[in-house]
Amino acid sequence: MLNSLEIKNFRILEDFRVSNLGRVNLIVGKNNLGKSTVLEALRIYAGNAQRGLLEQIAAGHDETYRLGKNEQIESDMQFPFEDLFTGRQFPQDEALAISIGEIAPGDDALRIEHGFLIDENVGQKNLFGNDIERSIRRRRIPNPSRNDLSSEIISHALFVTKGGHLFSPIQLDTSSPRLRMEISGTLPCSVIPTQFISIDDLADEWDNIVFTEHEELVREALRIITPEFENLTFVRSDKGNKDPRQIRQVFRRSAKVKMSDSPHPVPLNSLGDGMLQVLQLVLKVFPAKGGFLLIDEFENGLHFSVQEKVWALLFELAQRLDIQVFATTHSWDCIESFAKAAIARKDVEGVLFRVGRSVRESDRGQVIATVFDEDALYNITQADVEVR
Amino acid sequence: MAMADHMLLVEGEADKSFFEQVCKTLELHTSVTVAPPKDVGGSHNTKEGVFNHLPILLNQLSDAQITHLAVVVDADSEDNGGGYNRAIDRVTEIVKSYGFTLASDSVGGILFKHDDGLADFGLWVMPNNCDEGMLEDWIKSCVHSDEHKLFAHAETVVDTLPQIKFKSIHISKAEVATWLAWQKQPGHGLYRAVEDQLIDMDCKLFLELKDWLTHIYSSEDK
Repeated sequence: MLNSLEIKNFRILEDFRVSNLGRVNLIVGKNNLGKSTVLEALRIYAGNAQRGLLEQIAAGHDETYRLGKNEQIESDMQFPFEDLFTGRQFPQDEALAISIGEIAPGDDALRIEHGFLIDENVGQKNLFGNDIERSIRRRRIPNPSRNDLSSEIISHALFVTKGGHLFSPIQLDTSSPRLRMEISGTLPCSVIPTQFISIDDLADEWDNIVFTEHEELVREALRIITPEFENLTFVRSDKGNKDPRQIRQVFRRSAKVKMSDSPHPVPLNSLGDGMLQVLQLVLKVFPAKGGFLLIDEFENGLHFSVQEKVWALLFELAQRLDIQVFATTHSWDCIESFAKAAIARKDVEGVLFRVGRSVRESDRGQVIATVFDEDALYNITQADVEVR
Repeated sequence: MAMADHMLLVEGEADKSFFEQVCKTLELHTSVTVAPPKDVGGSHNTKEGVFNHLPILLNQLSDAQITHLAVVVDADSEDNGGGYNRAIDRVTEIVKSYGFTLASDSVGGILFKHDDGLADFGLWVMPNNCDEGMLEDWIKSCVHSDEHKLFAHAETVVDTLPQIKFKSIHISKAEVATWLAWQKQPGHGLYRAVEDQLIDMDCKLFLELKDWLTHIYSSEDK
């Protein structure tokens, strides 16, 4: 669990600090000020910035994540993942790395540096001193001159470290997808985006917990929204294989619900967005065990009247499964319901922080965080005060 | 807390309606939200409640959720643990860690300058930042000459009461309440003194308060 957060040189977050974090954290603030960027940084931190994750993130923003086949390296071209750096370009100074971690000296922060690799021929000699094999070894070199850069043996790369551990470099000027090595030591991390997760994906998560103690938890959660809810199942949907252009049959699944007041199965989709939001929240909680649960727009589909109960459930599950939750919101209702839930759970710390632009002279325009701990949250619930 | 970016924190409801009326009369170019602690999440509408809640508001300055902030409290009496010096010291201590220091050139109202570009923070200790007392003492000092006769009568009445139930520090409070009880609309709040133009807006103390409020709330947004 992170006790504080410091993000540097990552997109709009050039020098961003949150002095203390709780187990459950709510991020508020105006649009385009980096609420979702904080979640993205945490996702990269959890996943040790492995290439597949960076590609997913870059692709999600329509940013460059791989060079096209036979693409020439031009001086003004946008390299893969260059958009992740503040100002959307690699810093001239290699020391200006993306850094994501706790505020602490000698910390375990994740660092992503941009730099260069050179290919070197390495000869292997046999016992008699004769060359038997030549291989290529890549080595990091300091900033090469412009001339060197045009040579094919020097390439751009990202160098990722976390807590002193150096991962293999991510080479950038290559169009061929490389063999992906799974990086060890990643934190479990579930992401709930603003668009609803596909039913197929949720069905897979359901398969993972069926007949476990978690199954009943999911049912209880859904009853917060719809008390008549009894049970849930995922069935093969006919729709999946009707498209004549599809050569192979693709089976899709849809969610059916047993309701106490209906003799027939009811499609989950007909029960409103609140049911979907709660279902995806709870199903994505379990795989986040021991790691992060990142929720973009918590209030999605959730009426104010049920938000406090859903928060209470999240506080409980976060504590039980050792998960640190980070959620964003636009809604004042959501802040209020969060504050109430946080105060009700004395044993689980809830922290709210607002992202906004600094008006101080020394860091004017920088995105900064203003933290509301539980005492301040208590004040919020006591008054007609808006924290947006 | 984005209830408003121009905030004036006061002790209670009576001060709230009074200062709302003052701000309205002065036609400050922006609207100022006047609030006692409870309106903005504090626990008590008292002087102590103001001091306790102030840090939470100061915390909202860095990202301009609040841009202009000031506080009005009563000096009360030295003997009861009050006094203007104690109030100034207390506020100075609170705002210090947020980068504000007492400006030496404060005239009338008290100003605190920021070390990193935020707008001045203001403090007014009623009645005049250098005497014991409260808002009613300020009002008493500003009574319009047309009202002098009536006010003098109120003073006489209070002075000759057969039984005194209130503390001596509250004499002006009783006098002002008595005087306001005899107006066209008897028994309304202190704000009536301003709304009905019963106070002299050209007297020194009124002008000092006006200059202070104008300085705090009419400065450019940073």
